[in-house]
Amino acid sequence: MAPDLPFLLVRACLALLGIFLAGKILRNFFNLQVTLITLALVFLGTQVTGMIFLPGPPTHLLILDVYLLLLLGSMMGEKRWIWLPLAVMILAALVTGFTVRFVPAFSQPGSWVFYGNRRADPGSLNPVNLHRVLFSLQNGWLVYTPMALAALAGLSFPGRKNIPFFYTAFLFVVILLLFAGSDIDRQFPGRLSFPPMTASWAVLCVTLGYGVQKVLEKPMPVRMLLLAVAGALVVLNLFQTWQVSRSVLVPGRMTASYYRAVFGRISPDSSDRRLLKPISAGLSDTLPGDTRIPCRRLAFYDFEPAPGRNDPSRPAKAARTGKAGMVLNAEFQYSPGLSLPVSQLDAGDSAWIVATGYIFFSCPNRELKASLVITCLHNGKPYKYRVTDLANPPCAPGRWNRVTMSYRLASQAEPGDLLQVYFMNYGREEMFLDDMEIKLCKPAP
Amino acid sequence: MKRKRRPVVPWLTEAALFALLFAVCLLLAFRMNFKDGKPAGNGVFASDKSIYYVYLPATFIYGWDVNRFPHRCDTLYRGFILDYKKGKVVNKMTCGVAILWTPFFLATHTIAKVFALQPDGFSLFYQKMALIPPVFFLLLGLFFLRRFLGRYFTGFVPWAVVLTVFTATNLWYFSLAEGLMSHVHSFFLFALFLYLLKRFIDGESRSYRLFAWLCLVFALAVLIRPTNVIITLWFLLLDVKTGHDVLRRLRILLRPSWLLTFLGVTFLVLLPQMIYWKYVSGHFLHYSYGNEGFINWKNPVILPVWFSPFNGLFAYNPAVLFFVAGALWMVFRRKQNGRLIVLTFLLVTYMAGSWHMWFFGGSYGARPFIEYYTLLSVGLGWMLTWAFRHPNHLYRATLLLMLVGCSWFNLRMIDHNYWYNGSTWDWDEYRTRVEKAGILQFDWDRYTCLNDYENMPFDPSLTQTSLRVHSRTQAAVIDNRWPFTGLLDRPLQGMVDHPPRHVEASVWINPVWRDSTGAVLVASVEDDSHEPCFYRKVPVNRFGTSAGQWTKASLAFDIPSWLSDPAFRLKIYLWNRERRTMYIDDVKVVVE
Repeated sequence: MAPDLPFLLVRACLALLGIFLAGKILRNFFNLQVTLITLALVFLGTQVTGMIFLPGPPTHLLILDVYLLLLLGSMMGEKRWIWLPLAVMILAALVTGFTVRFVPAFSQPGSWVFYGNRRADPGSLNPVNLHRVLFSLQNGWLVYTPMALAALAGLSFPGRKNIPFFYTAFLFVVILLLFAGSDIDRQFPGRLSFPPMTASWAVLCVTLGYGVQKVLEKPMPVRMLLLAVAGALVVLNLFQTWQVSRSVLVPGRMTASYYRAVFGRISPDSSDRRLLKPISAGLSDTLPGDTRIPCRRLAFYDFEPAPGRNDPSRPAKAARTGKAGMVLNAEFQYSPGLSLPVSQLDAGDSAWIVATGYIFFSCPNRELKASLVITCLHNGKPYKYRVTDLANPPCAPGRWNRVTMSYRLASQAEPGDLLQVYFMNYGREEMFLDDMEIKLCKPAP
Repeated sequence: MKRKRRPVVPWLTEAALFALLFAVCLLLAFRMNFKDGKPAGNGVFASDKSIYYVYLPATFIYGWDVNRFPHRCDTLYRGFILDYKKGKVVNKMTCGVAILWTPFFLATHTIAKVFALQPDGFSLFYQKMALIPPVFFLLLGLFFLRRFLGRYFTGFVPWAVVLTVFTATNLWYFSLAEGLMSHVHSFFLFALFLYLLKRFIDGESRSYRLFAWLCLVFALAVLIRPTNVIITLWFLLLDVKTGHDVLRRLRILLRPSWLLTFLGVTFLVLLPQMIYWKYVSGHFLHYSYGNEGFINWKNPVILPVWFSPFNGLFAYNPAVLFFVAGALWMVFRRKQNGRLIVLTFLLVTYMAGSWHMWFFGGSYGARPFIEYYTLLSVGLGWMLTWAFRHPNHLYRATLLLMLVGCSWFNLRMIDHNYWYNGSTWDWDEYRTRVEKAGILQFDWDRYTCLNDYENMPFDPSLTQTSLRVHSRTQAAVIDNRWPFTGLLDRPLQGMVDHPPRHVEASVWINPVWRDSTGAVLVASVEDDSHEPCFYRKVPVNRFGTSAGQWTKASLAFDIPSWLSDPAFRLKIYLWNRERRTMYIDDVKVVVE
């Protein structure tokens, strides 16, 4: 909890500032009653709640406050400048969006511009993930912030009464969706709903306010019913935020069956956990080369036979060092290696397994069918399987070849998941293996 | 009152716009048809396009003498046939497109002769010049469509509709990428027909001359595509309010002098085709399509024509949903022409669904509808007019946003279009196309491959047949020539976004002669030297397959985790050990 304390304070300050700014904006449109109800709905019934209460940096709250400030500032002009908010908000959204999308394209360590969160496809503006932004079970905006549906429906009211504001809100949301959908491999584990859409509440608070105003004009039974629905959405949002904080909801690994299983529950059964999606491959498997990461040896095989024991799989001709090595052929397809629960590794958030071995073969490369394998298994099924084909260059016949492969352990591995490391030869040609080493590399805390 | 400023030269603005668009479209067409100055794919004249085109070199260069054609050029283009035995050029399609192209072809041929650019009618120069007429007729078609729509809608609506028709439908594809097909020419004639017809109906110039023009356009349209005869309905029903209006319209047509004009013009336009038919078959009237025809007329394929990922209308042109929705709304609101548009849409659907190849080969979207967008787009015009008259701006903003989205979808799909390999409801193949086009990315937890053999089978051991079918119109037959019949051959990796764990395969089998097939359904994982690393087999006999009946054979297995080499391929095939004849249909393979 302690490392999050500074962020918590900043988030609290930004939340208060946001409430103040949104209140000022809403008062330009509505009376105090509508303003207060709307503020409650936005700050307790949407993803903004999660941004305030869930751990993490306050980036999206800060962006929301900046947009609120810009909207408020542009609305305070003269009456003939009624289109000013449109220009300001669209410009701001475009500048922010293009900065986030295009800075990574020319961001290099050592250059004047550096953007730490570099993605695989910087620079493109193509909303290939729009459906995920809106409807994904992982972080879908409309799935985990159903209040957004009411706010979007609320666009209908300024569409009739306040045309300049309608176009401000409509185009602003469209641009945010365009940029959010263009993020190809951005995931937000530990976040309820889609964080980049938090900024949309700068304008959607007003459209939601129009909706609240309309509801308050309805006859008593209808009004009570609709307010009860809104209240239920607030309760649901607060509860789900709490569920995320307790890892009952696991954004990034959600499935429909798991969501149904934990809906309304304060703790999941261990059997429910099996309904979660397998952990994705995660970040790069290559061990960062520019930093010194401490490694510890998990296993080493020199394949020396026990004294007085004649092991046909460990002949002397297979030795690179010492008296023996291991032969892998049609009879002995798998080498010994590592097979242990991930929980025993104490891997933390980022750790790599590095396997190394020396191989020798005489056949042409294309005839060698051998691999070095590192895999993680969840319920007996591999969910991250990495393999190096030993037939590929620079391995060459007639000499000892050093083979190495690194593998990033998934940060959210389940305690019971199994890590396996081994060499295998599934072809007909013989191969020797010696001095096999498996290490765990983990950055110092 | 403010005076409207008139341009100094009234036609100059439109002419300049036309020239600009012409240049842009020509560049786009060139980009889509040529790569590094060489024809992309099978070339500009490949397949059906050569059939429409060959009338011109045959008439103006080779004098219909097959021996003067470049040797075996028919096998190169795989469209028309040079029958060396009879010494005739055999062509199944009619010559309307060639007639429209004639001035362009003559100009091209003259230039080729003057500058000695291999004046054989098929050289690279002719292929490049062949891109000009489709673009020309496209822009003329759009021009007349805007003029026609301008008589119903005001402001920017006609422009918006024309832009949508061009960018959000397969008209783009069949005018720029496959412009030598007939559709853009029919589109132009339909737009012109509607424009002239509207002028005729409005009585602005209900003259004999206008009627003669209508007859000419009608006859040319029918000559391009005989099914275009449907537009006769438009002459009778456009803008009618009562049954009396229809009778009045019919009476105009039946006036002796006007009827004579109609028959005379139509006869003159069709005469070249009749002369060709006489040349090729010995008869002035001839059905040149052989076994092809409207064989499904009793049981038309409707839903796939509309929604199938296999060239379905709406699956590739979602903007047309707005055309149809607008037309239905017009009917619901009892607006003029609503019923005519819906009737036209249903008739074209029936016609396309009745054709033996309801998916129209290697099409992009349902191409028989392209020319009918001229009238169908009135539905969109009405919808846009409604949205822009509505005081709530949400409707117009949302509608425009959706139309922009449809255009974006269409242009990206066209830019990444390739031959469809899947079957009628193979949605995973469609998802793959959408993903490759960079429109949306999907999670691939499961991949389902379906084959109902409506599409041509790519395995040489299979022949398409309609003699015995398990579903829809086609199945495949295996005979005694081939021991192995491939049902699926894909890289093991890449079908799902995790290492594949489980495979289920099934196929419906119908033996011809005996109660058993002797065949075995095999699934194997093979390495790059085609050696099986892993396989499972199921005798088909075990399922009690009996002669003349369809029986489902299925196979399920888990894939070992070590089979993760990118070079491995998953192959599922039937091993016809006893070389018997059997029908197969509805192959389904699920990879998880």
